[in-house]
Amino acid sequence: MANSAGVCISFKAEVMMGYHQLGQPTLGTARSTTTPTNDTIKCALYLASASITPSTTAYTATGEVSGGSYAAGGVTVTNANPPVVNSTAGCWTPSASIVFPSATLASFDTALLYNSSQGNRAIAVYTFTAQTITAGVLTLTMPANTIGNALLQIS
Amino acid sequence: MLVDTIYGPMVAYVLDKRVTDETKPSDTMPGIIERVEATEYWLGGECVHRSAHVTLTHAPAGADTGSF
Repeated sequence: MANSAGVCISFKAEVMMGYHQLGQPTLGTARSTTTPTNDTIKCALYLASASITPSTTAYTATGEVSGGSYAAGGVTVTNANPPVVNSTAGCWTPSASIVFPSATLASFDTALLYNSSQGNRAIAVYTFTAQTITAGVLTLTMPANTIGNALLQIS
Repeated sequence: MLVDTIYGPMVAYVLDKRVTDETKPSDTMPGIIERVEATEYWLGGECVHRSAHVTLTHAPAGADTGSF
């Protein structure tokens, strides 16, 4: 089964259960009702041969890329922007590009966003044309945080 | 300027630099246009360095959607 993009199905239910705190917290969270903090969101990369889909419920090392300074689990996403309302949608996009430091990575085509503060629960899967990195750096540039463009959107 | 390569740091002027900036339909998400910028350094027919910038894209509407 190939990788495919989409918001993880489990995430849709977990949002209603209050598991995820994206961006600057304004409410008490499952982790603390007195000192709320935003969750640590991470991004992992997967080989084109992996099977990461919206049915993925949590981060897995199966099918994950490896090589160079890439550490299992990927990198932490800058999670400083609170979700915003744009037109008729709620939008959230990381506040900075996601940068994977120098590595040599075999063909990969998928990034998984997941919440490492909440049992590595999966958030969403993003696919792109397969890439290789050779002793280089991968930068995932973020789209505009607006309806139709935001990385994560409730509409 | 030094470039990280599979053989360790090398001076850039001995390498063949190739830069691409493609905006094209995604191979993995029909209907989505994606942008990939890549910088490669080649030595004697071998790619010894490749870095890339990929612009992540909101997933298309449909069964597997980036919104819900």
